[in-house]
Amino acid sequence: MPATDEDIIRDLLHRYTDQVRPPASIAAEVAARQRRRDRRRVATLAASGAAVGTAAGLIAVVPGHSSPAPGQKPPEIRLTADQRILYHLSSAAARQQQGQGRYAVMSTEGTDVTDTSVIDSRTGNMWSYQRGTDGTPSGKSYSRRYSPTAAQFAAMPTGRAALRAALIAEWKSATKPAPHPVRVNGSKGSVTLVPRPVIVSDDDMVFQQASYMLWNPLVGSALRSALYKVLAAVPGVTVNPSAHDSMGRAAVEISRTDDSGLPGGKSDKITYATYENPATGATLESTITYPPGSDVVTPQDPHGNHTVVDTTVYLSTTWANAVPADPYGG
Amino acid sequence: MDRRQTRAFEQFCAESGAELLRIATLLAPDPHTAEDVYQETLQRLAARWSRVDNPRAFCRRVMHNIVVDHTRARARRPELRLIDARDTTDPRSADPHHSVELWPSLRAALDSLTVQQRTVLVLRYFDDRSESEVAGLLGISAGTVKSTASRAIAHLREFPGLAAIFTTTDSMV
Repeated sequence: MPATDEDIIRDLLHRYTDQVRPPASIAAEVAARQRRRDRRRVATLAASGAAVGTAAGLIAVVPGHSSPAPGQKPPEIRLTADQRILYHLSSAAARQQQGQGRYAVMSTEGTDVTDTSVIDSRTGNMWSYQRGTDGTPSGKSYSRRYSPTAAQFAAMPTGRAALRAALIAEWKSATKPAPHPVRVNGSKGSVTLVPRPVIVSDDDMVFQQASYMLWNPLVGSALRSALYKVLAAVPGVTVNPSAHDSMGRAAVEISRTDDSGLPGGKSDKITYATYENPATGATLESTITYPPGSDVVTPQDPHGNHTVVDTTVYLSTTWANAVPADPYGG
Repeated sequence: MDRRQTRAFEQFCAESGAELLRIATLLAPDPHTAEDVYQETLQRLAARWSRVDNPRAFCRRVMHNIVVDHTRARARRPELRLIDARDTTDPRSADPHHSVELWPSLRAALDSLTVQQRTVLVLRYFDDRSESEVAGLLGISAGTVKSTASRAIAHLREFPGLAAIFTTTDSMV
């Protein structure tokens, strides 16, 4: 039996909570949500930097697109079927009007999470409202300078070569891949883990960076249009014009599996895909597919032994002149 | 947060999640808010995972800040509270220390403390941290921790529904 007041308090506090157990899904859900945020942040940080001013004189890095000599006829450019689809998307995006209003209100659905993000086009600050589900309570958060401003996006280059170079440069400045531990067998049979730098190819950087930026409603029509053209020139891009997103909406699926990402430049086999509205070029859904053994764990797969698909569905984007109240009543 | 950081984060949550939610339950006015506080704490931790040296201490500081924010928000916008549906018919109620009839009183007593008093009490007597540790976490002096804890205990001693426990113990000593 407790003897002092402190002991009584201690006893009461422990007894009062001894049945409390957190739903196992919360930690995995928070981690998944953070991965999605990091994906966006990589893009947005890069865009911020690029908006500061990419050298207009950066020369074409796209293979086969050097300038013709004076008096020489420019080489004929033949587009593949996939490239033609992306150019159609580029045209569709270029025709879209930017929404009217200071705040972009974006409703998204991730794996077991539905949330509404409000992004201030002038400051890049973001309010995020999350609807609770079984095992995931509702919540809200606020991030300062989460996204570049609309003006910063508008200042980015739209020439294909300059934009590609900007995406690579900013990916490098915004993303520092952690060293990857590699098993090394010693001469006496010992095994040690040695950190080795991860190598990421330019094409991986460009695809990840460009596809990440497409979701952001602050990206204007000119930049969005240019991003599709950049994607069209990245080797390994697969385009499916007859795809549907997970909501059943008709979509153009643009996907690519990394050709690097591990020490020595070996592929990590992670596939990035973005589903675009064929009529407007707006992003409907994005997914990242991690192969087994990618160290991505979920409540259902705590050891990361299976393929994990991380999905974000973009349900709607509207514009407002004031920050809306929490739509989930939080 | 890369893949290995994700795994480390989830490992931390698996090891410390229950303890964190218990602390949130004691700090927050109801179980739903406690889960909100718990999740928001993890969210903030995840966002800073690579820069946080001591996640356990970080979570306690963050929880305190979140509860302060919640309390201020609630003061500005009072909300309708549902009746606590906790079971109060526990057959063990003959023993005052086992009685779940205490829980509504304890909840009400905790709610009647200031956020700082509640946090000090929880960190001192639930989390078993020293006065200097609590002082470091909350950014106050050790003397303030001591006096705050003392005032909080005195308040609980007098609180209706809890006073009997202290009285019972007094008579047994």
